[in-house]
Amino acid sequence: MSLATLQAIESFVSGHAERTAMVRHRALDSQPLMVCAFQLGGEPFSAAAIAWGRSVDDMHLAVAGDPRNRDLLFAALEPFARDFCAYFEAPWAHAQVEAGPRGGGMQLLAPTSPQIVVPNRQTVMLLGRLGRRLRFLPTDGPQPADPIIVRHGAHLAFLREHGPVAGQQLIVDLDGLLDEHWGMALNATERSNLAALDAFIEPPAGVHGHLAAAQAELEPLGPRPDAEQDARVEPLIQDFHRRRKGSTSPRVVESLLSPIREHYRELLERTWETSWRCLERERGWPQARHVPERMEADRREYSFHMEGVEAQIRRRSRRTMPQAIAHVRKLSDAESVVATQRAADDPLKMVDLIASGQAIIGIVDRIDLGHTILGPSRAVSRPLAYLRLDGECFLDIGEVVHWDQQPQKSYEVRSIGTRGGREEVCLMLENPQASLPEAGERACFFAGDVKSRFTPSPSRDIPWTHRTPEAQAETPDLEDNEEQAA
Amino acid sequence: MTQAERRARVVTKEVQAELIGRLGRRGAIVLKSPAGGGKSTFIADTVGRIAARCRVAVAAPTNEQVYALVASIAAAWPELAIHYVPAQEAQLPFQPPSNVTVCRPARTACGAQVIVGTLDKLGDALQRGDLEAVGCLIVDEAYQADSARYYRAAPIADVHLLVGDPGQIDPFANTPEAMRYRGLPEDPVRTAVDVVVANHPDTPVYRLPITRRLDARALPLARSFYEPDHHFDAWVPADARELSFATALVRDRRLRELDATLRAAGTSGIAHLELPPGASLVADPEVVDAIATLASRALDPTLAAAMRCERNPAGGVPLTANRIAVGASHKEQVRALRRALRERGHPDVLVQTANKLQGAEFDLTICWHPLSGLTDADVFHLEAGRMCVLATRHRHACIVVGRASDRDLLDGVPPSCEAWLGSDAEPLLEGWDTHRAFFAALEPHRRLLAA
Repeated sequence: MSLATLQAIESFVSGHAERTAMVRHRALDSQPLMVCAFQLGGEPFSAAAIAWGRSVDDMHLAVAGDPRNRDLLFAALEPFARDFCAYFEAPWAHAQVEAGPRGGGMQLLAPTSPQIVVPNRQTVMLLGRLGRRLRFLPTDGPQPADPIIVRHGAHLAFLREHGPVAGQQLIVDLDGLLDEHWGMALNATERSNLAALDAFIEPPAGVHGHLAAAQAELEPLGPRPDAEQDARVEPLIQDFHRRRKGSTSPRVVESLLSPIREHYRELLERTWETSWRCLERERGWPQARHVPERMEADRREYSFHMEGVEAQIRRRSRRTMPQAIAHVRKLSDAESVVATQRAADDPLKMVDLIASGQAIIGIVDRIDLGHTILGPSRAVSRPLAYLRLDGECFLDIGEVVHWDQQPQKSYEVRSIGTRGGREEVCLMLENPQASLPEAGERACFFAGDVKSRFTPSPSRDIPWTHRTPEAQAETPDLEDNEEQAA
Repeated sequence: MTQAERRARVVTKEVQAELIGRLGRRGAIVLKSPAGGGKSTFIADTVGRIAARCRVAVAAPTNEQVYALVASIAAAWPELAIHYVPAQEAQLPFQPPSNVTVCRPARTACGAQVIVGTLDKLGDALQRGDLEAVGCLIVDEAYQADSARYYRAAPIADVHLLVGDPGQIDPFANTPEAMRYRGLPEDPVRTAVDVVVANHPDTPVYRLPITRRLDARALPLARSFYEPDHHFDAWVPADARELSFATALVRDRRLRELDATLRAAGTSGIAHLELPPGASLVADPEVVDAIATLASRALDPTLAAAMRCERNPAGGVPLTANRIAVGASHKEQVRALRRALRERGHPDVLVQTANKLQGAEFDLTICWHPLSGLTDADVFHLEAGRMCVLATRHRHACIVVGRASDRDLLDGVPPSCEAWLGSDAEPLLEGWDTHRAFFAALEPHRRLLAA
C-alpha cells in the first residue's frame, strides 16, 4: 500500500506514471491476436463492431449493421470466427502426448498456446457473454448455426473463465497489464480506462499526465459506447433499416453498411492504435523469471480445453457445487502464489513486502555450514545464515521465509539480535540440499506462499447438508445432453 | 443461580435432548451463541453425553480452535478416550493429557468413539477412506466454517450440531471472482449454518441467552453486534470485576494520560483512546506506539495491576502478559506491534489479527480500531465481525485505540453498494450501521491523547 501511495504522489509531481515493476510479469507473444469491440448501447450479448488482426497494419473489421438482428450479427461474426479459430486452434494441430506435471498421467498437449490481447477487462467480459450465447447453438434443425460460430463461442467462453486466473496469459487485458506495471495518481475506476493509463504513461510533450489522462478518458475505447457515440450511430441504423426493407441478404446488406462501418472504423481505429502502442511499450521490458512456469500452466489449460472441444464435449455453463468449490480454491491459491512469485522476480514488487514487514534485506555476514540439529534418529545438517539488515526486522522468531533467489526452499527465523549497531537475523535452512547465499552477498528473504497446496477435488456426491432432501445426490459435470464424439 | 443462567441452562438442556432424540435420523441443529456464551463448556459437556450413545466427531475450522476443543473435552471427561487427528502441519501446543491419543496417520483413529480434528482434516481423511462415518458431528465456530470446508466433512455423520457465534467474521475468499457465486446455492463462501438452513429450512435454531465472558458493563457494546431480537444477559454483574492500577508519579504528560486510560478501562471495562485526527499509513506508527506503551504500562510493576472477579472475590490477582492480547486488522499492523512489544521487553503479549483471535479469551485486550486513520470506510474495514471479535475477547477491560477522525468516516450517507440476486446480505451497510452503533456506545468512554 505504502509504495503504491508514494508512487501515485510521485507521478503527480513528475507528471507521468511511475514504473511499479522492473520486469514484465506476463509473457507477450510477438504476434498475438488483437481483438477490439464495441457494443450497441447497453446491449450485452452481441457486438456492434469487432476489429481483429495480428499486427497494427492488419486490422480487419466486422460490422453487423444492427447487432440486435440475429442474422445480421451472425453474418458479421462469421469472418471473425474463421480468423479467430484458425489462429486459436493452430497450436493444437501439433499436439503430442506428454507426461503430466509432477509425473502425472499422460496428456495430449499442444507445443505452444495462443494469445489473445484485448484493450480492457470489459472486452474479456463481452467476449465471454458472446461465447455463452454462441456455444450452445444448434447446428441442425430449422435455424442451424454455422459450426465455426459454435466452436468460436466455446473458445470465447473458455477464455472468459481462464481470464481471472492470476498471472495467466492466454487472454491479456491491456488495462490490467498496465495497471500491474505502472503506478499513477488515478483511482481504480480511472485505471480501468486504457486511454487514461496510456496518456498518463506517455503524455504529449508539455502536458501533465493527469490532465492528459482526464482528456483521454472523455472518449470511450469500448466496448461500452457513451451516449454521444451512440447518438451518432442511431440515425445511421434507422436509415439502414429503412433501406434494407427487412432483407438480411448479404448482397443487399453489404452495399448499405458503409455509413455504419465508417462510424465504427473511426472509433475502433483509435482503440486499435492505443492498444498496439501499449502492447509494444510493454513488450520492450524483460520478462520475469516465473513467467515460463505460468506459460506452461496456460499450455495445459489450453490443451485440456481443445481436447474437450474436439471431442464435442459440452461443458456446463453453470458450475456444480463441487466444481464451484474447486474453482474458487484454484483461483485463491493462484492469487497468493503469483503474488509471491512477482515479489521474488522483481525488486520493485519486493519493496512492498519489505515496507510491510513481510521481507528483510541485508548483507550475508557469515554462513555456518556445520550447524546440525537433532533429528528423530540422528543429527541432521541445518546450515545457518546470518544476515545483517539494512533496516528493521518485523518477522517473528520461528517464521518460515524464502530466499528470493531460490523461493522453493525454506528457512526458519532463529533469532533476531543486533551486531555493530545493525540488526542481525539468524536463518536456518530447512532443506539442506539447497544452495545458500554466500558471505558478503546481498540477500533478501520473504514470507509468503510459494506453492499451492495439493487438495483432492471435492467428491461429486453432494452431502445431505448441501442439498434439499428431494435433490439428487450426484450432479453430472457435463451437460445432460452431453454428446460424445462418435 | 441467576435468572440468565437458568434460562441458558434450559436452552442447553433442550439442545442436548433434541440432539439425543434425533440420533439416527438425518438432520441438523443450530445453536447461536453471543461472544463468550459458554460454547466450549457446552460442547465439551455435549460430547461426553453423545459419546455414551454413539460415535462422535468434533470439528472446527482452524488448528488453534481444535487445540482448544481437545483441551476442554479432555478436561471435562477425564475417563473418555479422545482421538485427535492432526493436520499435517499441526502440533498441540501442550503435552497431550493422558486420555488424548494423537492419531498420525489419520486411519489410526478409525473406529474411535470420539474423534477431533479440523473440518479440512476430517474431510480429507473421510474422502481418502481413512475414517468411516460416525453417529454425530459437532462443529464449533460454524459461522467461520465456509460451505467448501463443510462440504468435505459433512458426510461423516447424518446428525450435525452446529455451534457458533454469528457476530464474528464471515468466511471470505482471496479472489474477487468468488463474488460471482454470491446468492447461488453453490456459493463456496457461505457459512456452514447458511448452507444447512437454506437446504433444510426445518432445522431448529437455538440461541444462548447469556454471555459468561463479558460482564454487565460490556453488554451495551456487545449488543450492537447481534441481531436485535437476540436477547442475552451477562452472567457476571457489573460490580463483580475490577482491574485496578496503582497511581504512579509520572512526569511525562503522555504517559500520565495512558495510565489514566488504563485506570478508566479497568473501572468501566472499556475505554476508547483517540489519537489526533488524520489519515495514516496502514501500520500507523503513532497507534503502534500508543498500543505498545499501553500494554507495557499495564505490565509495569509500579502500576501493580490487580484483578478482582467472581472467581476471586478477594481480588489481588496480578495481571500477567499471557492474559493480555492485542488485536488488529492487518498483518502489517501485527508485525509492527510485535516488534514494538519485543523492544519493550514484552514478547509474550499475544498480538494477532482479529481472524486469529476468534474464540480466544483474555483479561485485558487492546485493539486497533479497524477504521483508524482511513480516508474511506470500505467493506473490509467495515466488516462488523472484525470489530465484534476485537471488542468481545476480554473479561475485565478492552481499550479501543483509533484516531479522532474515525467517526467522521460514517457521517452522512453510506456509499452505494453492490447487490446480488438471491442474497439478502449487505455487508457494507450492516458494517456501517454496526460501527455507528458501536461508536455511539463508546461515546461516554472517549479519551483524547494529545500529540
